Amino acid sequence: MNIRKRNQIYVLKIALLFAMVIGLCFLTLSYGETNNLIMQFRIPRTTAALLCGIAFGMAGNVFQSLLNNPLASPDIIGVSSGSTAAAVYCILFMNLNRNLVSIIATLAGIFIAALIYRISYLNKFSSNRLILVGIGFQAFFSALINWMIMKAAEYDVPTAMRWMNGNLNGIVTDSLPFLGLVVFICFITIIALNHGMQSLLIGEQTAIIHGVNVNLTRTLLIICSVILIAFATAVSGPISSIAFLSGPIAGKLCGRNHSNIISSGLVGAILVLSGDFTGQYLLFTRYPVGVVTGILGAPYLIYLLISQNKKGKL
Amino acid sequence: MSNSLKANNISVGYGNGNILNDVSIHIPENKISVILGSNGSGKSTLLKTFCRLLTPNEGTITLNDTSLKCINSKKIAKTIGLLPQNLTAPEGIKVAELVSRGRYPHRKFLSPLSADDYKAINEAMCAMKITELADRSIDELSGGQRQRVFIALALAQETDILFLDEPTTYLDIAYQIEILDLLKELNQTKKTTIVMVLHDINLSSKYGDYIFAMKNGHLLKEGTPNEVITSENIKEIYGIESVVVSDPLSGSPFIIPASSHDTVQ
Repeated sequence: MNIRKRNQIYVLKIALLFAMVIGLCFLTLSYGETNNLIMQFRIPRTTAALLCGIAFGMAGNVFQSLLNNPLASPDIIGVSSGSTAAAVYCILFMNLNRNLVSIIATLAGIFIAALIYRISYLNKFSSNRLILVGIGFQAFFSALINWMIMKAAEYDVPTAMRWMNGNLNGIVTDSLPFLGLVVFICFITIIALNHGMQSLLIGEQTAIIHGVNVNLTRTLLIICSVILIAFATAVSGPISSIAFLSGPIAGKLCGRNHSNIISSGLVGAILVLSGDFTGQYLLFTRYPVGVVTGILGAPYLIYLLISQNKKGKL
Repeated sequence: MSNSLKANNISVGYGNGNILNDVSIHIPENKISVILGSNGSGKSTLLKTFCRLLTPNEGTITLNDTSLKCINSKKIAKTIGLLPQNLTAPEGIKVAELVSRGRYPHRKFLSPLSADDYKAINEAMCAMKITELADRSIDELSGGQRQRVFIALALAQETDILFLDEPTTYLDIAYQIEILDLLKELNQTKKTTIVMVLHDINLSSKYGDYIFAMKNGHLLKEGTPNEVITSENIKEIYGIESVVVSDPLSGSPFIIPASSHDTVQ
């Protein structure tokens, strides 16, 4: 099979994933009883699921690709929980508005990413060390988030619970246009850097030989991913496992040959939409989306830890 | 048009000590040049400096008499290619896909691969005889196949000048000859200027048109194999006694190192 043909098949697969996303949007909007009032709740909910799914999926894939390790997703290595902790603090103790919270969460995420990178860069950069340091940070920030929620005033707890595992209940429409704009800008930037990133993934030397501005490309990609994570988290909370699962699933579906940035975003949207749909209608009690996706992520994490350990990678 | 690449009095080093001291080289155009020298003589450092992986502390590298610093990096990438020593690739990537990434400097912003890109990718794979491997995953290839895939990656970049850092290391003699023959063919058909670091003196004189001999960060000798590969020079470069004979197949100089255990006088 020649390379041109394979590229055509790849485009076809992307189109199919896209069609699935559209189909799921319609399903979540039109399931069961519908009327104008219900639609007023459902449209922002579905839009938020779509945007957050794309954001988590793409950001996770960029991290995993740049660090060349499926464990290096921002929700495993503490970047997401770092920005979540900052957001929880701003909401519970400072009563800031959502957009400001997103910006502070982004800055915190970038700071945490830089800190984890710095600590794992003792003499020479090692992505394994980065992952271990990151898992430590992840545990620390989860504890910190729990502690802040326990300290919070009782009437704040329902809002705060969103930050435990992600929830699409009570999405406010006015937070969405800003999230949409941010996702769009980051999407365009990441796609624009995609060719350079493909050279970078072969190796830093190859990228320099190809004329890629290595430091600029890497820094911009990380910043865009952290922005995506932080802004999406500020809207939906940290929906478990989406960033972690989307890239590998997209890789399995579309092959490892392409960047899979677009397909990861689409898979992320599919996971959030279908997870929320399952949590809402298919189980006996209504569960938040993060609980459903978390159940998917846990066995995969265990599988990865065991298989990477066997390969001697960890 | 051939491109003239020169190093002008370059000194290169990490930290305080310089690995290269005041080296000036003019790469012979459309020829195969080989850089020889003992371990730590600065061969790889020289190659890396030409390829922008290291920046000289003093002196400049010029392409057609313009300093590399003043040329757009994508434009340089269309002229200078490299096969690095440590080859890495993303796990599970297919051969054709890896080779296609060599097109980066030629691709326009956001656009898919063009007809020219596909042509260059196919030509590179044909030249390295890996067309049948196109759909194989890089992880399942043998050492020699892998090396050819990475050379094809460098060829897809369609540069006039190609540097190779020890392209035959870790390969058995059959693969070494195969790779060097393919490079010679490339040099003859496409007039590509080839510069490589080799450890094997005899293969260097068999395939090289021109030899640069390095020692302790200096350029010690340069010239055709007949001028450079003499037993006096070998003693100076490597510090060993040797006898130089003529390779009966190519006529190039062939060295036989002397050992303290040699019994025939």
